[in-house]
Amino acid sequence: MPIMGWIMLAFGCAVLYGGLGICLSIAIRNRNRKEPKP
Amino acid sequence: MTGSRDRWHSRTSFIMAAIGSAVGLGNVWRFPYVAYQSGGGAFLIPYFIALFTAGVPMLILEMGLGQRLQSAAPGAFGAIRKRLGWFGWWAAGLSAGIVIYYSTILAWAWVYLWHSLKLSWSGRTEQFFVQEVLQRSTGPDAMGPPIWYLVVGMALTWIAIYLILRRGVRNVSRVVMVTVPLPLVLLAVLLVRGLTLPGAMDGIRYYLTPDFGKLAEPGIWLRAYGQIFFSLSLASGVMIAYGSFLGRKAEITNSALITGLANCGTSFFAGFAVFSMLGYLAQVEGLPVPDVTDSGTGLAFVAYPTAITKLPALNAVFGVIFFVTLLTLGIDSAFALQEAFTTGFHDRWKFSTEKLARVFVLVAFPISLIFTTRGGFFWFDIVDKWICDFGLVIAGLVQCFAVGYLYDVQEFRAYLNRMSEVRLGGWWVIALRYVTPAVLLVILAMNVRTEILETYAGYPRWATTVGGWGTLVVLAVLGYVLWRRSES
Repeated sequence: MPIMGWIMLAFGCAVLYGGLGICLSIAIRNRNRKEPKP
Repeated sequence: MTGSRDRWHSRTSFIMAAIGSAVGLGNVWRFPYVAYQSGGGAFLIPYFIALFTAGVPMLILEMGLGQRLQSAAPGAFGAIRKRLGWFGWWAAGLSAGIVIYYSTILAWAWVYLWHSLKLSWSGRTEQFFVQEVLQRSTGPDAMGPPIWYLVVGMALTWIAIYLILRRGVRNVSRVVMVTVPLPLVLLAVLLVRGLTLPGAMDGIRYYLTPDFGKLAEPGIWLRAYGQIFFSLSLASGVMIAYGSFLGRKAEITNSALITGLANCGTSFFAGFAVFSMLGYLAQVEGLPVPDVTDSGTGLAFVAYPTAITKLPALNAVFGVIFFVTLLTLGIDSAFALQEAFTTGFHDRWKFSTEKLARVFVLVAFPISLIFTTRGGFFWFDIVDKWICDFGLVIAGLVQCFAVGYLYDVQEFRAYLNRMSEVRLGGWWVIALRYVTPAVLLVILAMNVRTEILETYAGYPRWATTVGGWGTLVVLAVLGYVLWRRSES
């Protein structure tokens, strides 16, 4: 695969899984404070 | 449960259910093909821009509206303007229409799951799908009676939906803990198998190698917005209904971001599982990768099963894994769509969740049998095209207009920010008022233009009028009747 293919792979992973990781970590940090009660 | 509002078991179950609703068959059979056709890795640029300027803002809007007004689409839009209650019922009706034809794909998947045990399609995949499973006739006018094994597959689908929904959202909270992660695990198994096959990297090269020249074509940008819009279960009222089961203090913005990113992450991931297998198939058949690449039913029921028969070992096992993946991907989208429709009845008339699930299934199952006939595939194709290309796009437009211009959107943003883990900026209002409606308007105009210039897929005009426009009109009349009844 050409180098640009690898770069796009890294770009996709960084945005999607990096972004997801950041959002999840924020949610986990706040889970005790903001968990909706049933 | 009569009279009381159901609640998610936890925030995790809400997010899992939202992801389950968004992640469906399109993530596997549409995104990889669209990306490959639209510039490969370069497609990620318009795709991400569409995600953050339309997909996530619409998710926040829908989840937030449901949570704030504690109501599904009919009640939520009726609260904005009385007359918009009709639109709310129509949007919820679209979701009922979708689940009725969407169940057809799950019926095919059940049939294929059975045949996976002996790989009945081996050596004649396309013929098997068209002539033996669908027994496809010459056109929509030649329907014939329902085909018995498709009826069985359809019945299994509706029974599964009933069993999941009969105890309401609390049961859904438990079910999604299995149906959301399971297909991801199975996709990972298929990916590992695919990557260890010769030719896999050729397939992935086609999937990822960027063609930045494509970004100059406006059609590629519209395709990215279309892919995001349809992939996230937007405009059908699903996310409004799901949001309505959240407590008043629930966080919305970060949950919407997690849902959007998880959905797109699954699509990106599925592309590797699909293209590694297609690369292998191309190598075995001695063909270039584009010649074996397909999307939609052609990928799920022809190309991928062909690749499975060419595997060196454990073919039946991988056949079972693939079709269980499709079933688990599809089932949570299906019951979410049904929930979007029936929650409106619960809100207004306080019917019990069990009764609503039972009555809906008993009405929807006989209607869905149309799609199990020999001409059913054509009707499935027409109804799908019109509901997605016209119904959902119009619903999305009205939704943006209603919240962006008729609702106090700045105050709504302040409300969301009170509990938000991620501050919602002014960009959200711009996205709702200008970006998303503009893109949806262009998509709608192009769809109408295409429909006027040429009949869809060569179908006779009467068929598209009856199956396409007719479905939308029937849903509009149904929405009007329900709105009038709910107002009286």
